Amino acid sequence: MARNAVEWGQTPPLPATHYVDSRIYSSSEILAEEREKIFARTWVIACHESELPARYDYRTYRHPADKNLVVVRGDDDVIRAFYNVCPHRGNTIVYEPAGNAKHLLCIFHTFSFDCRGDCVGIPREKAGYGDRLSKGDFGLRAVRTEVGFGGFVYVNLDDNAQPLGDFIGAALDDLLPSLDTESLEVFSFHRAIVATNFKLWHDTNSEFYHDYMHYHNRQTSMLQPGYFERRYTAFPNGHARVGDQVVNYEAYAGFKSRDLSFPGMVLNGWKMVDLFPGMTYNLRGSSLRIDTLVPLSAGQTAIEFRGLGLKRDTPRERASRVHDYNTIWGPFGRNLHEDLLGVLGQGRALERGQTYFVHGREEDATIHDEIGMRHFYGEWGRRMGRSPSDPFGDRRTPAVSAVDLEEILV
Amino acid sequence: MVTIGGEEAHRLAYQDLTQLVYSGVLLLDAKDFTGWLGLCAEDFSYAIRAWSPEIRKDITWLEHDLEGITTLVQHLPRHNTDQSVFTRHATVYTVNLDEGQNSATIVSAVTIYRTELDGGATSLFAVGRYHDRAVHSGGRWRLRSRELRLDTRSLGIGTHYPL
Repeated sequence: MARNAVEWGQTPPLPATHYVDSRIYSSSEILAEEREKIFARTWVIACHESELPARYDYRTYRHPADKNLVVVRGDDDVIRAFYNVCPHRGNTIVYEPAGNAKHLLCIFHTFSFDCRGDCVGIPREKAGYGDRLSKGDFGLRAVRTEVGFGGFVYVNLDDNAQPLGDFIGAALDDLLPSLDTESLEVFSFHRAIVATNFKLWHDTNSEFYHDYMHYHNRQTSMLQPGYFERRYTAFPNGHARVGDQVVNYEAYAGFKSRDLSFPGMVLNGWKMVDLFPGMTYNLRGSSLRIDTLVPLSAGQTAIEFRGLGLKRDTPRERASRVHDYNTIWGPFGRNLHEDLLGVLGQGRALERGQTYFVHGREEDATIHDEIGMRHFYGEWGRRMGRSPSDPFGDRRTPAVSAVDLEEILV
Repeated sequence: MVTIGGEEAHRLAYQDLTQLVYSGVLLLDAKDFTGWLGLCAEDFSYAIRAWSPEIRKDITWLEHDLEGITTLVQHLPRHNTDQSVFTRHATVYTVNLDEGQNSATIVSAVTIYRTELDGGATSLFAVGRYHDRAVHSGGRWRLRSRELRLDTRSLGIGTHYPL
């Protein structure tokens, strides 16, 4: 039965952990707080080490806490990250997204910096600063950097944050044989800017109930043995893993079984892990897809997609992985367009007054259970100090209690 | 490049090859994929590529032979696809006939606009170039390969359609 305005605004008849207030997806105030309390304090993937193969290579990165970084491979092969901002007058130092330079030079007044972030050149230094300031006062702002879990360059703006390994915990353990046995290499990159909130993309990656949207997934996965036995496992810090499945690619007319896989993974296997607050490892068939998110505003998100194979791939093997990746995941792939269309539609609906989003499916933590999203919002609420279902304290339902959050952390 | 005003055969080939590109654009705009595939040779190949300055590599985003691209368009009704209208604006820049005059390469600039169904707002979707190879057989020119090299790499929600 259709509902009137009063009924439309009523809270769903579910525990407060099982739905969220739609304003968490549209409020600029919420996003500003997310940048401060979440993104500025958690580990996020900036790039992959294969994007910096040589000493002095650099790669820029727009950090989701609204900072511009530059990642540099040093003369000692150590990868470091810095604010991509000249400490002198605030100019962007590196403009190109990637390159190689022994010294990073600010074009404005030609201050220069080495690969370790030290200022090594100030024009007419003594003439202007005398003994009051020197190069030592103009070092770049270093950002904590660790490389791991498949060679990904993780950064954290918080100097006092827990180590990356503690943050990830055991969430990626099942994937490690595939990630760390051999070196990986990025073969595809694209950035989709979509009018939607960043969490809506992570939500999509955190639930499989939307497989009904994908003709490809219905044919190759949902109708195949084992699909409904896939189970979610929740990990501390908001991460979640979904159980494995073997995909039957040949169930989609014109597709063939993949002829390549990854170390430690069965042919045509599928493993997926969602990391808080917005990263996804999606290892499927012959290629690994990594999603990372940068909120540009509450209603606009840059989603970066990377496709990876093995560094030792022969040209034929690489071409095979690239082909497999693009059939479902490139900007012209069968699945990705559908997923992006879905979150774009959510973004449009938000503009028109959606009140609640329901995360209420309970199916014993199996594939269509929405526990992945509930688990994410448990961590989100803990870090934000707000209830996802009542973020401004003006709904008629009680805020999520500490007990509720414990229940989500299965 | 074929010299305009040269041999009559060259002039006719230039016209036919230019017409081949433009006919393809009209068929793709009309979503008449069967008609478009009718312009292609049996050994046709199709690819969309771009240079990524982020990873400093050439990237391939779509690559199919005739069977693959045929399957792709046949599956379109089964997928959820943004139904915005694409309008391609192509300009043929160069036509080069090979020595035997039975094959040719054609380079065209292409600009692709997307018009939303709801309200009809039009925006620029992508710019790039068609790098085509054509073969003359059975009394007509057909596309043997098309590589769309995109300058635009930020493609929003992307698309299921060949461009």
